[in-house]
Amino acid sequence: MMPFAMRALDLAPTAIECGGGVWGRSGAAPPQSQLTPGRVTRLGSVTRERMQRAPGRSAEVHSVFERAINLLWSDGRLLTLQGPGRLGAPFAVALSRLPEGGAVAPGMRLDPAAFDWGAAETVDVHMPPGPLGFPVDALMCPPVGASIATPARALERALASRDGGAVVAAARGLIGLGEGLTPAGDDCLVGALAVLHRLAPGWLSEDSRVTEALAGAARTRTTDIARDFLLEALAGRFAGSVLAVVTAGSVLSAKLAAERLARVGATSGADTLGGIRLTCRALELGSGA
Amino acid sequence: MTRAGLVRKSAYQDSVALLTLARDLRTAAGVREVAALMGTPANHDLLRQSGLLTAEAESAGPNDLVIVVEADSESHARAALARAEELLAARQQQRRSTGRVLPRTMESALRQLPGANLALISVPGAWAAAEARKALRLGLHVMLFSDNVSVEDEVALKRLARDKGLLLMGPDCGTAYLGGAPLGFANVVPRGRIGLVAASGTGLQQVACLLAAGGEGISQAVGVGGRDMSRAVGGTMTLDALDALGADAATELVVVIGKPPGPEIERQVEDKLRGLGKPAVVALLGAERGVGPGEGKVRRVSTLEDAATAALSALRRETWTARPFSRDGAAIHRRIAEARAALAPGQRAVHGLYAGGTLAYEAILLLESLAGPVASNLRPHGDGIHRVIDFGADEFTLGRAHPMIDPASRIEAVAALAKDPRVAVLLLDIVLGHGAARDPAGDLAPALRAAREAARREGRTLHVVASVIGTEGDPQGLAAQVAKVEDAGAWVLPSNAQAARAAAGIAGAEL
Repeated sequence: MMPFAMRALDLAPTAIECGGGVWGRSGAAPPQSQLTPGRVTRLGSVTRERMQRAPGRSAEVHSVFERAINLLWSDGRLLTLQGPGRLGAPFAVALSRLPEGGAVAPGMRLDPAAFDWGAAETVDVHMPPGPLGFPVDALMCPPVGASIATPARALERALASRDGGAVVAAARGLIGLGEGLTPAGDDCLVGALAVLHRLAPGWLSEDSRVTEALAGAARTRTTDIARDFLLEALAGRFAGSVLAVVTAGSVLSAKLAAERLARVGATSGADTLGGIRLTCRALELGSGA
Repeated sequence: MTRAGLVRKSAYQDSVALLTLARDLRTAAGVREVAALMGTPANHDLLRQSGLLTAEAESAGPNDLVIVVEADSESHARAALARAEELLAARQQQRRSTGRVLPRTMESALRQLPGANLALISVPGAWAAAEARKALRLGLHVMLFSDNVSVEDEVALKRLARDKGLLLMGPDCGTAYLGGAPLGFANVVPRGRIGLVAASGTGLQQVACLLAAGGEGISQAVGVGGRDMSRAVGGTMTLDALDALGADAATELVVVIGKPPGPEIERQVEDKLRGLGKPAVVALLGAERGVGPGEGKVRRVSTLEDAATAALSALRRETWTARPFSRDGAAIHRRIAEARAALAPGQRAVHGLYAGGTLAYEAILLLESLAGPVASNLRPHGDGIHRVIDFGADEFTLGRAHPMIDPASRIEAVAALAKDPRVAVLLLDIVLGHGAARDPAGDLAPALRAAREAARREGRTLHVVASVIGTEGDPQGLAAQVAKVEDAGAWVLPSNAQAARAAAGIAGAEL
């Protein structure tokens, strides 16, 4: 073994934080120098269509986070710019690099034509129907936060009984409820919808009253960002981290995907995981009844 | 009591920022409750049900940030809201002024900080090994803060590190001090002449703080990970770290902290220690081999506190003997007897609620030897009237902050245990230092007070026994933290071992 020289362990007084490639809803400092156009590496098929429908139109910057910039698109919904990697939202656009040192701030306008997005990979962000490839108990997660525990339990009961009216009532109770930029209740509901689209897709499509009622509540009762996650979820479209959990084909891949999802945001990922788990349980109960 | 609120229109703060802001405001003087939420209709209802819906909050829309403070007086509420404004402004300023671009790869980080020689890796376990391998190949020592790294990966990484003459500290390495730089969860301790090699974080912190209290400092402290001395890993980093400490001129004495390894590795460690030519103290918690002076200059002890006091004595060439309590033993025994006498019939159990894994493990060993069997999440198959929970274990931290940062899981447990007529003592650790919560004692104090009061209303005396792991130099300040937890009715002892012994004594153990 080569001996260590302790002198070599003297550390420089400054440190560099190295950002990962995972889009998160946490962080602080957007770069400040001039915006450098980037290359679009990946986007969802529906997002591509949205961009194609509004060529050459600039979009207002809605909000700026360390690893994401939200644009208010011409259709009144958000479009999220992120760095490379798995799409952090179904309405996200992955760039080869997020604008560096650019003075991006809410209210500014960005011209998407500045981004070279013609050669981008189009990925499917729809939840494919199918069975779960792992037992529900493989998803180790803490219980949902106290602020949403009661409506979350109500949602689980309503789903178990397949009672559309009760599902709407419970889900409306969750929308906009709790801490966070995407309130915890919305995150939980996104997780629940992911499982419904996977395991019981017909249930949502057969009863349009459920989706209409929830879409209406999403448009008026929560934040813009949570609204778009919910509307996309109602349409069966999800972030890569959610798709990875629900479509995992083995216990190991489910656990790894769940661990990754659980670390999104402060509690957003954990609350989404809570919604996934409670819905899996509820549907198991329902099928056994 | 009064409530006041402020609303920021279209203020998009990320979730972590909102939680941090609320936590910060809760520590302000005279503040009882804080809500920092988006102004959705459901959150309006939530605030209304909690009695926190002010006129300002009622006017907020779904995209508006609402901050409501409940405080003892208007001046306290106003001060807290002013603090909130300050924090929001500081955050905005930080956004405006930060021109530096965060690197997204290790290579670009190295370009920004040429000459850096250590990477601290804290990513989900599934990706940690790949990042560590990358860092080692770039010639960097690695502190692997991540857990959930497979033993196969650990073995391979440590082989690679050894081949390159580098340290691979971890996985699940919470604390280290290298070249005077504290890494991870670390207390503010002086530099000195004692080198530490420890399996994990809070054990190292306890020893470092007790050494600081005794007037000595740390030369280097290397965390090697809880599995390093297992047969599979073979003590690779423990042995390499000992070589490094042997060659380190500033290190005059070496302390090794861990769990008992297999006999072959234990022999290799002891051989290595004897070969260093420096006095050494070995604390292998739960080792069946008896404590004693050992061979040569190596002394074996059984608790973290003994490791510190034996090291201090060895450096000062004083005779050392293990003592169950460091202060006036007679007074402590009197207090234990008084506390025991105040218990209601049926109150026999000690419940340990721990943030530190090694501290929890030490408490299990001491309680079991003094007061009988202990159930714990650290040993799933055990059972007993007493219980010790490590709230830093994976099942409590997946998607949640560690209990050294976020007290929520322990606060919930304290409230639940207050209703259990069997519980005689709540046993706690409160860990200070860099990386820990701003005010851990203040976070727990209201829950402890409420639990004692709830038990009192039911005719029981619920005792709280605690140790505070920290120093006066820590950002939280040791004395201030001790005062806060004592003010909540806790009995604070100078070490985890002493706290566990006192708890066992109150629950009926003969000490």
